[in-house]
Amino acid sequence: VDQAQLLKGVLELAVLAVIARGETYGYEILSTLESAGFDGVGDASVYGTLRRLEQAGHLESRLEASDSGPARKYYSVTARGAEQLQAGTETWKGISDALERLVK
Amino acid sequence: MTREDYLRQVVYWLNDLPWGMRQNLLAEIRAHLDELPADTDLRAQLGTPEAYAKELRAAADLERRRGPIAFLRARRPRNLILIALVLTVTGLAIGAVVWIDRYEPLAFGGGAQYPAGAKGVAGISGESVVFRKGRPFIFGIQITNTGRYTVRILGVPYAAIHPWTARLLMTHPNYSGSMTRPYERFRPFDLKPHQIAFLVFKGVYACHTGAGAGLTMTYSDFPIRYKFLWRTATTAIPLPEDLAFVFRTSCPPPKNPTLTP
Repeated sequence: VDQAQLLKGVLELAVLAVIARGETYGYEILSTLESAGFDGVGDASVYGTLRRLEQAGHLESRLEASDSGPARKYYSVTARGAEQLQAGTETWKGISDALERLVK
Repeated sequence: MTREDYLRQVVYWLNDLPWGMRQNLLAEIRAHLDELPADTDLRAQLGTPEAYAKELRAAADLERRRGPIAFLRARRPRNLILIALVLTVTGLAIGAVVWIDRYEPLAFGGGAQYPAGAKGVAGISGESVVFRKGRPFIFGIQITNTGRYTVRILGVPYAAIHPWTARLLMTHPNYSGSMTRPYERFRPFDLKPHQIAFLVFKGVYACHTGAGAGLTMTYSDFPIRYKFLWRTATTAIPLPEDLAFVFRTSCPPPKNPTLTP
């Protein structure tokens, strides 16, 4: 299975998980995802996912002026986003455990 | 490729999205790109602008929009307003030109002066008059402006060949329709809405026609040359009754004809 395609399916959950750790901005979210092994996911997918989650009310954002350049957009998880993350994580764990049992 | 070039091309591939959404995306993508190190090779790091746009569209659930409504929404509102304004102004200008081109407010004013002796004759429609060279001649009609705007009356352009030599006279435009004297020599004048003026040829019967004995020459209208704004035109005002000149003797054209008016 293509890793990029596989990762894309859980990107929404991964992005929510990264932001749930604390308020953060786009480039940092990308770096965190890559460090965690999501290096097959393109920048546009992450930014597109951020936009979709924000439109859905799972994320909220604020602009903060930056000394080094233009204003930076900081994201944080809303209550609805937190519920989505919890539900998604449980579903993912269920799938992951089931798959682990099958491939053992 | 500079960031702006890259951004411009990404937005190009999203040009079906509503203009406001595209501006929003542009600002967001610009902010994201600005977070990348300055020496980043954007194509190597992010892929082609087309691929970036495609990936962004898929991740953000931005489906391709089609149809005339989507086309209009994708345009910048200011440009749409400008286009609508230009179309409206152009339409109005064309409408105005067409209207002016068709504006023909002159009509018969209710009165006419036919040559002395004109009468109905069996077999000839309207009034008939026997041509008698050198005898006094008078012929004219009232004209009125039935429109809402003033027009300038320039003259009575009868064809050069006609059976009289006469001066064109006029009464001063008025609202009563008076045909009484004093007549004054014709000069171009403004005819206001609902005003009436009497235009009359006064002179003598004369040979310009080359008509032979037994010929009848019939006039059915009275041509008026007028000007409205930039347009000059001639309108043929129908006579209340045709006027026929009956030539009992031949009427050869003079060697050096004097033309009127």
